[in-house]
Amino acid sequence: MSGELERFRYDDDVVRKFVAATLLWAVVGMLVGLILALQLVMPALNFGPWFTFGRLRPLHTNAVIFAFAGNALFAGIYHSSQRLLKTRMFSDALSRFHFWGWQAIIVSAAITLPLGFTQGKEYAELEWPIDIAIAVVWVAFAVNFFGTLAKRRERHLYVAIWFYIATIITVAVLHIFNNLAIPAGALKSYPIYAGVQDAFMQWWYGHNAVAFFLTTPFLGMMYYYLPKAAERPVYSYRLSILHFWSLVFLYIWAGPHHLHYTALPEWASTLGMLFSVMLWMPSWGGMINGLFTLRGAWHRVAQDPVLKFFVVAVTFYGMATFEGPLLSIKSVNSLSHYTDWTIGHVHGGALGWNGFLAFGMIYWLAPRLFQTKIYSKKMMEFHFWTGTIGILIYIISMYVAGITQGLMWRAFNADGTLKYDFMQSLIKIIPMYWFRAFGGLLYITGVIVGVVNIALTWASRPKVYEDKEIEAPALKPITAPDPEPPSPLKESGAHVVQIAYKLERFIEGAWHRTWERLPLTFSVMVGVAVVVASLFEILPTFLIRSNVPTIASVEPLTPLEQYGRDIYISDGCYNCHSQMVRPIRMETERYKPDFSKPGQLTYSLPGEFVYDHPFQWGSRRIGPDLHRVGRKYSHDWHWDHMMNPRSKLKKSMMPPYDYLFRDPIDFSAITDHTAALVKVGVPYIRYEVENADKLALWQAKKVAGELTKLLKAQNRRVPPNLQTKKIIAVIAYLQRLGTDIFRGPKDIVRPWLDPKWRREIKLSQPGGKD
Amino acid sequence: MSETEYSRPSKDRLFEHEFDGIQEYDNPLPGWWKLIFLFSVIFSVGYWAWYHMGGSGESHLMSYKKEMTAFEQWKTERELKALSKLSEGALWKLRSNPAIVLLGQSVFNRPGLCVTCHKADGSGLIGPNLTDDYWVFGNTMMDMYKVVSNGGRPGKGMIAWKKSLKQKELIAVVVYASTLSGKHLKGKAADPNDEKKLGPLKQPVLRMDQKGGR
Repeated sequence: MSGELERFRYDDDVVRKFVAATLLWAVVGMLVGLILALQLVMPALNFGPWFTFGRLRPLHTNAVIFAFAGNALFAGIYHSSQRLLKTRMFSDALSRFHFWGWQAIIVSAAITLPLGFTQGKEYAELEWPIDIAIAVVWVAFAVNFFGTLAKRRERHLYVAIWFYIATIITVAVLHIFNNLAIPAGALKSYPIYAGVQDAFMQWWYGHNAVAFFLTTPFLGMMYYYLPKAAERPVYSYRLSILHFWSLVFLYIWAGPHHLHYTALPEWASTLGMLFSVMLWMPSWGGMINGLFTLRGAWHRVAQDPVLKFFVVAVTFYGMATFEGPLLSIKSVNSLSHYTDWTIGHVHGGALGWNGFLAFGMIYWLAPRLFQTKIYSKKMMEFHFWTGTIGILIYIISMYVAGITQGLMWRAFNADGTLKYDFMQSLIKIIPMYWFRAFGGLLYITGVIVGVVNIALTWASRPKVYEDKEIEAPALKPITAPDPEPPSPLKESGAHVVQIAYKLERFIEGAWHRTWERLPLTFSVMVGVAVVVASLFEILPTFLIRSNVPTIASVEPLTPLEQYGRDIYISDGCYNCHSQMVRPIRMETERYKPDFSKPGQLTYSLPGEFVYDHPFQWGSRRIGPDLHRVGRKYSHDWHWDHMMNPRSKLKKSMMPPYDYLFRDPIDFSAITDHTAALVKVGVPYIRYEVENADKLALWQAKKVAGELTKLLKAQNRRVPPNLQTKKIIAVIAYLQRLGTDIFRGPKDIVRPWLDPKWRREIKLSQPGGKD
Repeated sequence: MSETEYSRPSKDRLFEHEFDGIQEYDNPLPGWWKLIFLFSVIFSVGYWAWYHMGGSGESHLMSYKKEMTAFEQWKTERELKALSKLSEGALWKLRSNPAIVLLGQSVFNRPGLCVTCHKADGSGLIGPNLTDDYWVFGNTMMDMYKVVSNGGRPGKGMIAWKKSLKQKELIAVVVYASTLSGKHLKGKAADPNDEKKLGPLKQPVLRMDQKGGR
């Protein structure tokens, strides 16, 4: 096995860079989170258009997931892989490209999201040019990583490396297939999927982003840094094998549990639930291996803050992965979905598992990377305690808020009417929102103290880092199979005993030991497991037509309404409003349009979303569902409400959208948008595409006229050029929302389908004098 | 160097291999872990079979519809109970309640009831045609209700149904019968001595809150 000793050096410079970026983005991302928490209790903190809740929330999620956790996992992977593979990274240039490329992506995200450039899909908000950049940087990372595997000096791959491989392969697949879109401008695109299928793809991605961006790489890091810090062997190699493969194979199926009771076909939703339930033990395999590794080292946990961080991280991992299967059970989900329970669940995982594992790792790395002593152990202790208490306050307040809201939504009076209106359910949980903000503040305080601590540690670094030379024997080609261990069973000649011996070898994981020295085979197996499992769900979702029965009266939006929808997406309305009335009595009762016929089913049907690129079902109701809002209120109600929500609903948390009353509609963009929508399959007629801007103006005048009448009747001032303002498009969209299934043959939404109309109506050019 | 020298049979076997100083034990999987994992798989197979492979599990849409039907029926019963004073408007409003109409239809078609003399489609046989514009007692729903519950003129076939039907059934059957009016089916011709031409069922002028439905 041992060859000649070779000398080389690890690249720690790139690790230091990633650590610094991790800390920077941790502060930024979490501060944005704190601002969001405060905006909910003090709506005056919404500074539109750039700093409203709807635009900042994607910034928060992207910053903490991709910037904070992302940089942390890159730091961990670059540091531990070199050591586990006994080699320097494959290419220093690729390492630098990865680092700077990723930071550039984060900066561009931080600029474009507040400006309202978004795809409108959760955690996949970034627009197409940035998506391409992400793919390029990720491929560079993959080449660098697999190149490192190829030049390794360690024959077998350690379990941490398995998890890194799964991360790199799966994230690439998820990112590419969820973000397939047709550009409709420099920073505007429409996803190729619509409605039910888009929802499915999005949560296949969204759930597995949690799995393969926030779980597998962090498990890999746990497998390196926890035994390192505890100086104890890993509890069980067999458990590593079994829980790794079961995680990889089962996780990928679980996405549809985000879509229970929606228009997604029920079989998919059932698969999502069952695979989540089966995931419970594979997830806990990681927790067991983490916690049991500390056997015999618990006395050290009391003294070493690094281990304290790890213990809490692994405990929260265990909690979150028990809660996940619990929330995926349909009946539990009918209560928890759209409430703050989900927010509590996510933050237990993110702040506890990802946050604490990352900080534990950084505290362990800091003295080694900066070749000095940590500045203050007391500050580490302070960080640990503020953080832990902060998480507890955060998640407990969110559990209380979520369950309260869920119960209030489903409460009925004795006469069969709903007990609470939506606003009551919101007012009730405002105290919990204050607790949440306080918990978050505690956590951030700890983080800032931690950053100062690391910065001061860095300040005491040596003038020149010692770049230690490492020695390791080169890999020699394999000449003989792995030697088999001695066993009393092996020596026996009896047939049955031989079978027992083979079985024992299998259970010990001997077969896996062989895989571990074949990185290519191993990676292919991971890829196959992930892709095949995905196809099992994706293919039926796309190919079986009965999954989405078409509805004759459902038509595409008009160009103006579509423009209104684009504003809805751009302002992130989906962050607070769902568009999915589930077939649950309390829900159809609450969101029933008053013009529906008696006995008519009014829950959201799959066929209603066939032109929705992207779907906007949402995942949280800070405001009420909007799918059946169309024609529920008058134009002037929306007018007043959008200008100042609190003029209509005193305790509303919604930001004011006064800029929509000033900003003009970009009619020329409407033409491009309509053309792009045709490319993704929306059946606009040619006349409509060619005259999209003029038709939009025609409808804008119509809506503005109706609105003017209403305002004049109340003796109110009507602003000039009403028909050119964005608010008109938004009102047009809201009034159309969810009304198509109630449409009679005489309710015409696109009159231009009639050639006679096209001959008779003379359209005017936008921008002309009118 | 042999990679796989074990020190057996100590309880925690340590593999000889190490990665950057990290070693691994060959501990077995905890029994409870295996059991729960196995159970979750068995549960999943059973659940799938129960709901999606011909088992008798109910889809959520089905249970929603059932719940809504039960809820509508419950609401109807409450409405009827609250109906202390019958009025034209109240009766008219019930025409848009599918549960009531269905109940009325089933009462109408019960053997020995309305269907016997008026036929299932209401075109008349022994009793008059209910779908035409001719009426013996007047063309409002209250008129119909009075006839059904108290009976017609003595000697003719129409008896006082309130003796054998519950009030809920009386109301429902009137609501259903009223929906037949105006269909103008060919059937028993009107008897000019008995019936006056009044036109189809008269629609009352309703207050806003009585309109129901739309």
